[in-house]
Amino acid sequence: MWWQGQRTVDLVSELLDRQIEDDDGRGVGKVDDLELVRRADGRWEVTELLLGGRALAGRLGGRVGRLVGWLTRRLHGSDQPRGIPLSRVTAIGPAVRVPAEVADAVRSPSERWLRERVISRVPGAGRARE
Amino acid sequence: MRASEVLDRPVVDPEGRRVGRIVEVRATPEQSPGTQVIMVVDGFVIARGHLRLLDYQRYHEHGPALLRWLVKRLHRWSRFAPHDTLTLPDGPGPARLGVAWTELPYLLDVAWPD
Amino acid sequence: MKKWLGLTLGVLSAVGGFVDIGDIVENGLVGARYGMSLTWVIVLGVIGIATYAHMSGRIVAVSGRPVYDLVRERLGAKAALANLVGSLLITLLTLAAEIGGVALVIELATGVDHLVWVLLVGVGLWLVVWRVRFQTMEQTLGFAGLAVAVFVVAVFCLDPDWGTLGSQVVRVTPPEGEPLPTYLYHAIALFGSAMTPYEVFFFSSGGVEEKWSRADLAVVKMNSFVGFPLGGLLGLGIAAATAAVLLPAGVQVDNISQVLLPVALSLGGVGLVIGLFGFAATTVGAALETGLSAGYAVAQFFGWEWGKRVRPAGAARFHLAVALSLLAGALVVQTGVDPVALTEYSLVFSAVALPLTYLPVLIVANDTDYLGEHVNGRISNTLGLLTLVVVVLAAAAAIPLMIATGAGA
Repeated sequence: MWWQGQRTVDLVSELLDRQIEDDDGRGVGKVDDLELVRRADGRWEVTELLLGGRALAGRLGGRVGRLVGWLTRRLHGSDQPRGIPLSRVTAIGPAVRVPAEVADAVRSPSERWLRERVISRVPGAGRARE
Repeated sequence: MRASEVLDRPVVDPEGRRVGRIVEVRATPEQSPGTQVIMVVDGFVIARGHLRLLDYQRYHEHGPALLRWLVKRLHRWSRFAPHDTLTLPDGPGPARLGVAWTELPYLLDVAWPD
Repeated sequence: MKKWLGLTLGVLSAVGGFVDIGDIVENGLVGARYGMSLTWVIVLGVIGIATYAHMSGRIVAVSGRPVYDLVRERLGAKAALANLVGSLLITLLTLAAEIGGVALVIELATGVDHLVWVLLVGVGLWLVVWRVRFQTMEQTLGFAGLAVAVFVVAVFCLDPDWGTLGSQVVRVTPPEGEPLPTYLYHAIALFGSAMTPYEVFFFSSGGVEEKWSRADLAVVKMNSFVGFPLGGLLGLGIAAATAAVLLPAGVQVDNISQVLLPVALSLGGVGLVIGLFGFAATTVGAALETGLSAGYAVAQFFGWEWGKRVRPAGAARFHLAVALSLLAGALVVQTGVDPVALTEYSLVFSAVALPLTYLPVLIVANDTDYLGEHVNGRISNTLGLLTLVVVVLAAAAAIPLMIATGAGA
C-alpha cells in the first residue's frame, strides 16, 4: 500500500524533493537525496532517504552546494546527512510519511538548538494560537 | 552511492562515444514472502539535455495536453536503459552502456504505455 | 455571515497584488496619466491570479501541499533554489516598501516624519506574527482593507463625465501624444504586480494554516473568484478616482498624498480619514503577507516545520526567518530610500520568479495523484496556459522596457 498500488516509482518524479512528514503532519524535512547500494547480483537497491543541509549540498553541487555544506557544518558540526531507512517509510504520496519515533530520531539539530537557546526564551513562544 | 551522483552523470556507449546523461531512475518495490519491502532499480532514462520529465512520463493522460506534447517532443530521442545494460563506476567518470545506443528502447515506448 | 468571513483570505492575498503601497501609487499615477485605459491589464491580472489561486487552493484542500512544496518537488532542488532567490528578493523589497508605506500613512495622519515610525512599525508587525491568531489577522485586515472602496464611492459622488471614463475603459492603446513604450512599461508593471508570486505563497499557506480539506473546496472557489476580484476592484477604484479628478486638471502623481486628493475633494474630511484608514489596513496587510510569505517560502523549500498554527517554539527556524525579514525590511527603509521605488525594482526579478512559480502549480493541478477527480478542467487549463504565456512575454519584456523608458518616466 505504501507505494499506492503503483508498479514502479520514478525516483526523481515521485520521491526526491518531496516533503517528509510524521503521522501528525508535522514537517520533518525534504527528501534531499537517496542512498543506493549495489547488491551482490549487481542490481542497485534504494536503501535510505537522506535529508538535511549536507544532503542538499550534494544535490546542488558547485559553488552554491559548497556554501550550503559549509554553512551546515558551521551550524551543527555534522558531516553526515541524516537518513531514514526506506523500510520505515509508511507512505509515498504528495508527502512521504514516517512514524513519529522515526521522525524524532532525525529532527534537525539546528532547529532544536534555536528552539532551546533562542525562541523558547521569548515570552509567548510555547502557546499555540489556533 | 547517492542519487545525486547518479543523476546528470554522462553516459557513453561501448565505443566510448557520449550519448547523453541520466535524467531519471525507475525503481520497483519488491517483497519476497517474510521479508521487508525493498526498492530495486529497474533502469535509467538517458536524455540529450538536462530537461526534466516533469512527471509527464508517469501516465498517459496527464494534462495540460500542450505541456504533455511539449515534454514528449523534447524527449523523443531519449531512451530507457534497463539496469543490466548500464554500468555505473564507483568513482567519477561516465556510466558505460553494455549494448549499442540504438538497441535501447525509446523512452516514449516504455514510459507512456497506451 | 460565516460564508462571507471565509472570503477574507482571498481579499487579503489580493491586497498584496493590487493595493499595496506600490500599487496605490502606481494606480494613482496611471489613472492621472492614462485615465482608465489600462483597465484591461487589471482585468487580465485578476483573471490570471484568480485562476492560479484556485488551482493552488484546490491542491491544498485535497493534498495539503502549499505552493513552495510544489515548486521544489516538480522543479528539483536547483531550479527551486533559483526561484527562491528571485521570489525572496521580490518579497523582501515589497516588505521593506510596505513597512515604509505604513510609516508614510502614519506621517500623513500625524505630521511626524515617517522615518520616526519605521522601527515601531517593524516591532508591531512582529508582535502580530508572534501572537495573533492567523484567522483573526486575516479577517480583521481583509475587512478593514475594503475601506479603500471609498475611492469608488468618491467617483460616484463626483459624478464625472461617464462617457469619457467609459471610452477610456474599452481602449487598449495609450491616449494621443503618449509614447507606446512608456504605456507598455506601466502595463507590465501593473500586470507583474498583479501576478506577484507571494500572493499564491500566502494564499496556499493560509489554506494550510486554516486546515482546509475537501469540505472547503467551495470556500476556495469563492476566495479565488470573489476575494481576488474584489482586491482588483479596489485598485481600479483608485485609478478611476485619479482619472476623474487629476487627469483633467493635468496633475502628475508620484506620492501617496496626491492619490488621496480626489477622495478629499469629493467626500471631505470623512473621506480622507476613511481613505487613510484603508491605506493603513492594506499596507499593514501587505506587510504581513510579504513577511509571512518570506518565511513560508524558505521553510517550504528546506522542509522545515512552519506556520502560525503551531506554537512558535515548534517552528523555530520559520519564526527566525520571518523576524529577520521584518528586521531587514525595517533597516532598508530606515536608510531613507523611497519605499515606492523599491517596489519598482522588484519587477526585475519577476522574469525568474513568475514562470518558475506558476508552471509547477499548473502541472500539479493536473496530477491525479494529488487531486484525484478535482484536477483541472479544460477552462482552468486554457486560462492557466494563456496566463503563463502572457507572464513569460511580460517577464521577458520587463527589463528592456524598464531601461528604455527610465522606469516609466
